[in-house]
Amino acid sequence: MQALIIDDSRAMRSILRRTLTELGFTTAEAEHGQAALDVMNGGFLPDICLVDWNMPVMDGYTFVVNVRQNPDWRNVTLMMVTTESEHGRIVKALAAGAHEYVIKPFTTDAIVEKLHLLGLIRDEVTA
Amino acid sequence: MTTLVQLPHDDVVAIASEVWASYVSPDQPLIPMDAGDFPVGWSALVAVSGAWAGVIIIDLLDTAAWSLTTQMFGDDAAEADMADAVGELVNMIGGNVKAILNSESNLSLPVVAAGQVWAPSGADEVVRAELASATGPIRVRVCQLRVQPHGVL
Repeated sequence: MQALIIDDSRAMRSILRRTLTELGFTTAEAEHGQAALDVMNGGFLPDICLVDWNMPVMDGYTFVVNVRQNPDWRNVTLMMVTTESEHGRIVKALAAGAHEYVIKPFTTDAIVEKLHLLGLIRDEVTA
Repeated sequence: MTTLVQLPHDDVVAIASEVWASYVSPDQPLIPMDAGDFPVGWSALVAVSGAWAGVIIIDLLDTAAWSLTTQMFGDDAAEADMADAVGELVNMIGGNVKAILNSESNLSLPVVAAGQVWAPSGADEVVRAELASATGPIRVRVCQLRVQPHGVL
């Protein structure tokens, strides 16, 4: 499984990278939405993108909209990981094509549970 | 005249404590204290604009900032990572404070400074939370900007 971590914070990318690597994912990283699109256009096709909302250059919501406009990426799962917790924001992201929404701060268990619900990790990995 | 928002002090304490516990020290929660003046090693702010306008500012000792950095970056932590870690801390605290304000507002990207970050002069402090961590005091301030018909003072 491959994951693309999109967050302008290197600290947050580091936390998520360690979690995903322990779960067996191969990871790539991008510091904003445009850089993430560049990574994907460069040939890295992730099974899941973990997407922050507030980022410079291109925010996470715009990234989600861009991914959903490309039929080649229709199987990419999108999970928002953000401090934006207002109901309206969550609905907006899900309506644009995000599958899941995790609010910072999160626990490792919360990430694992979401990945399990999305069918991206097996039971024995989470046990 | 701008009406100051009623923001419970305990809610801000709870937010800061949850963030700290999640990424730094789950077994040693932040404890409210009277920090007084302390030598601020790092500080950061995020601005909220929209239905409510203000800033959320955090101040930390160097030792607390380094503890945060090592927990976030793990074995790869370096001094150059401290600004990034402090920025993410204020982003998470600020984002959750914005959420309890129940307003449609936007959160800025964090501004981080070694030493004391600039804070806007036309602002009223609505909450000040001073907290003790195992590695030194942490201060969280929520300041509301005075919005005038022609903008923000």
